[in-house]
Amino acid sequence: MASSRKITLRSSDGESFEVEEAVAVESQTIKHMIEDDCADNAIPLPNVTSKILAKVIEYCKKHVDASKAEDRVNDEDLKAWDAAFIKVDQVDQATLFDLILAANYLNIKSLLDLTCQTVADMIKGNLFPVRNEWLNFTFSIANRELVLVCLTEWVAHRRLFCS
Amino acid sequence: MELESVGDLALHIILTKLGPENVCRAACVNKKLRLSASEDTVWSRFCLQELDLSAPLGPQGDPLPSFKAAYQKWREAFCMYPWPLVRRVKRCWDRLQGWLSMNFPEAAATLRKGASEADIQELESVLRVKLPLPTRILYRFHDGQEFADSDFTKSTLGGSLGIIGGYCFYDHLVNVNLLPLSQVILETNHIIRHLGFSSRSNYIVVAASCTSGEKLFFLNCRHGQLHVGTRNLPTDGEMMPCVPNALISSVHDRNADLQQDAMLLWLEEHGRRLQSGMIKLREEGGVRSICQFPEEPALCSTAITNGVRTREAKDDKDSKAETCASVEIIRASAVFVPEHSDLQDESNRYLFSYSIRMSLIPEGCMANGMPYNYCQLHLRHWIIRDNDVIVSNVNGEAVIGKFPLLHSGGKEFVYQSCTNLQSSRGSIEGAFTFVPGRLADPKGGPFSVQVAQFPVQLPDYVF
Repeated sequence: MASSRKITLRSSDGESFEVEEAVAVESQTIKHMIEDDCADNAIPLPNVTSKILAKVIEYCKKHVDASKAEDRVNDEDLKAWDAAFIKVDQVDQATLFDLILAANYLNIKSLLDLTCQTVADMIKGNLFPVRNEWLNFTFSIANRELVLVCLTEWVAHRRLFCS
Repeated sequence: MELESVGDLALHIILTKLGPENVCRAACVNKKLRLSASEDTVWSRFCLQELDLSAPLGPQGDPLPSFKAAYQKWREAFCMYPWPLVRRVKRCWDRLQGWLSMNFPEAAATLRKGASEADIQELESVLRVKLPLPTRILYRFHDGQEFADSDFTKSTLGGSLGIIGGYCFYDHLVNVNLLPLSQVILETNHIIRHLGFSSRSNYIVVAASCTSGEKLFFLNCRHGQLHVGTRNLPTDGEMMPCVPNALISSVHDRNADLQQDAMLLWLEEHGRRLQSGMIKLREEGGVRSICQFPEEPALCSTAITNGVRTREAKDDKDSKAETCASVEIIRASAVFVPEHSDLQDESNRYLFSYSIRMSLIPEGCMANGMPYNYCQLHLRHWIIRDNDVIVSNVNGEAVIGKFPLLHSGGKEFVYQSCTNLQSSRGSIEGAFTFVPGRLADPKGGPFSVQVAQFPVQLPDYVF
C-alpha cells in the first residue's frame, strides 16, 4: 500500500478534494471502501457538502499530522487545537450539527466524540436553542428533588415546557 | 435545526456525556428527547459508570426490570445524602466485600444487610448523638457483622471472623469486628456507665474485639474521628486517634464538596491493605483470620541467608569434604498494640508486637546419601533501637522459650513476641544461630542466620 497515495473525495455539491490516503482513512467508511477496491476513481460522498467536507478534512489532517513521530504534538496542544476548531462562535449551530452527521456517516469516532461533547456542554450550560428559542432553565426547586421528580413524573414537566 | 436531527447514535452519545441529572433536565424539553432519554442503553451506561452495576439491581441487590428503574431506586434510596459520597461509600464496601468473597467467604457471610434510615434515627435518639454523614451511609450499606453461635465454637478464644482482624502474641488475642447498630447502642450505654463518661458524650462504640484482649474503637460523632482505647481506658478513659486528623472534614455538612470521616478513611485504608496484600489471612490451628502483621516490604523485612556448610565425610577413607547449600528465609514485621500501650508511661509508652517467620528451603544438599533436611535454632541476638538509639542488645537462648526445628521445605515456623518503645519509631534486627540437624545431635558446626532490620513505628492508621 503506497503511503503517499492520493484519494479523491467528491462532495454532494460536486467539488473534489484530493487528500493523502493516511488522512482519508481516518474515516472508517472510506477505509472500508478503499479496502473493497471502490476507490479507483473519486469517492462520492452524497451526504456531505463541500463546506463540511473541507472542515472534516482539516480535522483529519491535523490528527494524522499530530500522530506522526517527527512532528509529535502533545495531547494538551491537540486538545487546545480541537477546542479552537469547534469553538461555538466560530462554528454555528447548523454547521455543528452537519459535522455530527458527517462524522457519523463517515465513521470518524474522535470527531463524533468531539462534536457530541460540544453539544453536551452547550446543553449543560443551558445555552442550547430548542425550536429557535433560547431555553433558560430556572429551577425553583433543588436540583436533587428535580432528579426525583423528573424520573418519576415526566409528564408533570410537560406542562412547564411545550412539547 | 433541532437537536433530534443529529440522529439517534449521536443523540445517544450526547446524552451519555450529559450525565444522569442533565439527562433528566433534557428529558423535560420535548417528547422526542424524553423518548431518547428513556432508552435503557443510556441508563445502563450510567449504572455502570456511577455504581459499577452491570445488572439492573437495586440497593438491596433486588433485581429490577430496567437500568433506568435501578438507577431511580438507588437515587431515591439515598436522596438524603450527597450522591458523590454515596458512590464513594459504595466503592469502599465493594472493595472490601470483593476481597472477602474471594479470600475469606466465611467472614463475608457475616456482613449484615444495610440498616434503614429509621434504624439510624433510633440510634441517634437513644444515644443522643448525630452520626457523621459518611458513617450513616456506611451503615446504610451494611449494618455491622453478625455471628452465628457456630462461629465461636471453632476457635479457642473467641471470634476469628472480624473483618478488621487482629493479632496474637503470648496469650493476648485480638480479632476486631464491626458492630451492628443494635450492639453499638448496647455497648455504648454499657461503656458510658462503666467508664463514667458524661451522658452527653459524643462517643459511640463501633468496633470491638470479642476475645480475651479487650480492644474497643470509639467514634466521636461530633468531630468524626475514630479512637481506640489504650491500657488506661478503664481508669482514665484514655484513647488514641486511629486516622490522621488532618484528613477529616465536613462530616455533617451536606453541602460541602468533600465529606470524609475517620470510619470511611479507616475502612478505605483497610480495603487497600487487603487488596495490595500488605495484610493477609493467616491460618493457625485450622482457624483462618485476617492478620494485622504486615507482609510486604517496607514494613516487613525479608532476609535470605545462603548457608554453605562443609562437612568432613567421616566414613569415607578419602575424607572428602562435602558441601551443601540451604537457604533460610526469615521474614519479620511489627504491629502497634494500642490497647496495651500506656501513654502516660514516659519510658514504656508504646507497645509493639512483632512476628518472626522462618523457613528452610532445600537447595540440593546431600551428605553420605542423607540430605540435610532440618536444622534447629539455638541462640538469638537481638538489637532494638528506639529513635535510632540502641536500647537493647541481647544475646540469649531460644525464642519465646522454644528451640524451633525447621524442616527443609516444611511449613514456616511463626512466633510472636513484643517490646516497648519510648518514642514512636524504632527498629529491630538481629540474627539467629542454628545448628544443622538437632541440638542434641548436630550434623555440623553452628551457622548464623540474619533477621533483617524491620521498622517498629506508630502507624498513620491504627487498626
